[in-house]
Amino acid sequence: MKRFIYLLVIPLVLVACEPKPKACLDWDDTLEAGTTLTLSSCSEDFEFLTWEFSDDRGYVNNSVERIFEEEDDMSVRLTAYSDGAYRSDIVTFPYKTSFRYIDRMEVVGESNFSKLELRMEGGAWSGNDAKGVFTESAPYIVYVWPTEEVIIESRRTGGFSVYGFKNGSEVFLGKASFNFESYKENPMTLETNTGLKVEVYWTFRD
Amino acid sequence: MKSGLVLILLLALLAPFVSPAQDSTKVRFFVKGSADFWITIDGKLQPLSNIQRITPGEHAIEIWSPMHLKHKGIIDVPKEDSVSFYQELKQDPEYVAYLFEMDKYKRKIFLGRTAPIVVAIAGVVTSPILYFSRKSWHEKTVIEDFKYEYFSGDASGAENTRARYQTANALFFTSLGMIAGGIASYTVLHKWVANLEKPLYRQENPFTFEAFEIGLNPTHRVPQFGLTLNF
Repeated sequence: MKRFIYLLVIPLVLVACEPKPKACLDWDDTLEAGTTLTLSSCSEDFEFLTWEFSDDRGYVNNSVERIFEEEDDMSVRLTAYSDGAYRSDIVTFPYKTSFRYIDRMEVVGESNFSKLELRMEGGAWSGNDAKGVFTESAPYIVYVWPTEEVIIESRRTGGFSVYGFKNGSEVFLGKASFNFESYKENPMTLETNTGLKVEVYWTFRD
Repeated sequence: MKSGLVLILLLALLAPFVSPAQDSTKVRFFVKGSADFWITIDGKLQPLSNIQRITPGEHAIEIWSPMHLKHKGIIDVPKEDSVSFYQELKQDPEYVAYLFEMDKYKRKIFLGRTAPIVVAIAGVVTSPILYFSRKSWHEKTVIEDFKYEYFSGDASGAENTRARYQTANALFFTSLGMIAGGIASYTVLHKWVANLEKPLYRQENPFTFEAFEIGLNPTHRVPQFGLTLNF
């Protein structure tokens, strides 16, 4: 008789011992718009995940590849299910989507130019007097954002060029090219032919 | 003297090949009864064999076989080398009653003990299989419902999966019910089965006065023969 009862109880114990899944998202507050993102989670003890985005798109996968075409305030509801889907855990994560914008250019080194200019597709921006020695703590700065909104187009290859001005004529100092789909470093760096260290920063819209 | 001895020796050697005198007839008995049967001729118990040597003429004969009634009759043995004698014995009505009782007894044992155990074991064996099947279909149901909500407007896939999950669910709980029902039935009927009186058939050999019993082996639940010797 006892053996029968054990056989009845064992499956119930096995079910009870199954770990409860834990849904987890540890993304940044802002995700880049206009590029293909692979979104993954830090969930544990799950069999499968469902993703429900606030733009009414749903996915069943451990990670999601998608493109946010617009800048928006969004949220995602992630549900982690156990084996058999009898147990689940839900986490809702609010986030923003934003394009990458050129923020500023910082230059470190010794310069004898009257000004330095950053050029990209979409515009050219120059700063004040560039004569002198510029350090990490006091670099030469050319601001772009928020006066102008220059989007880094992630779906294309691009770059920036740096020019110096001396005695009314411009001098080409260097050019950097990137595949913005894969290159996400911030800042983007360039060493000019005159030994200046150029860093171009980008930012998301707040 | 010598020739006399040779003659005697020759006769002795040929003796086995010479037919005996026809003072008895070989009677081969075909008795429809049990495997063994006992015969008395004129009240005298014959050796256990279906072939007997009987002197020609009329004799009182009695034949008995276990689980059958004793047959009394007359046998007219002709003066021949061998003859056959056929006799069908009537089955003992008490033995027939015993067989009916035994059937009833076995049915009660089956309902009170065998069936609950078989049902419970069937439940124990099938429930883990059905548990995993149910689990798998539940997972598919959740996924199909989600897909229906977000991907497609066709509900047939989700409905089909849900129907299969419901079937798997019903089967799983049925298997649990079988375990619970089997154990409960066994527990409730255990004492009733233990108190069941097992049928017994007892008969005595009318010639040797040996008694035998047919009962049911309490361990293996199969009929068993017992022999009681009376001295």
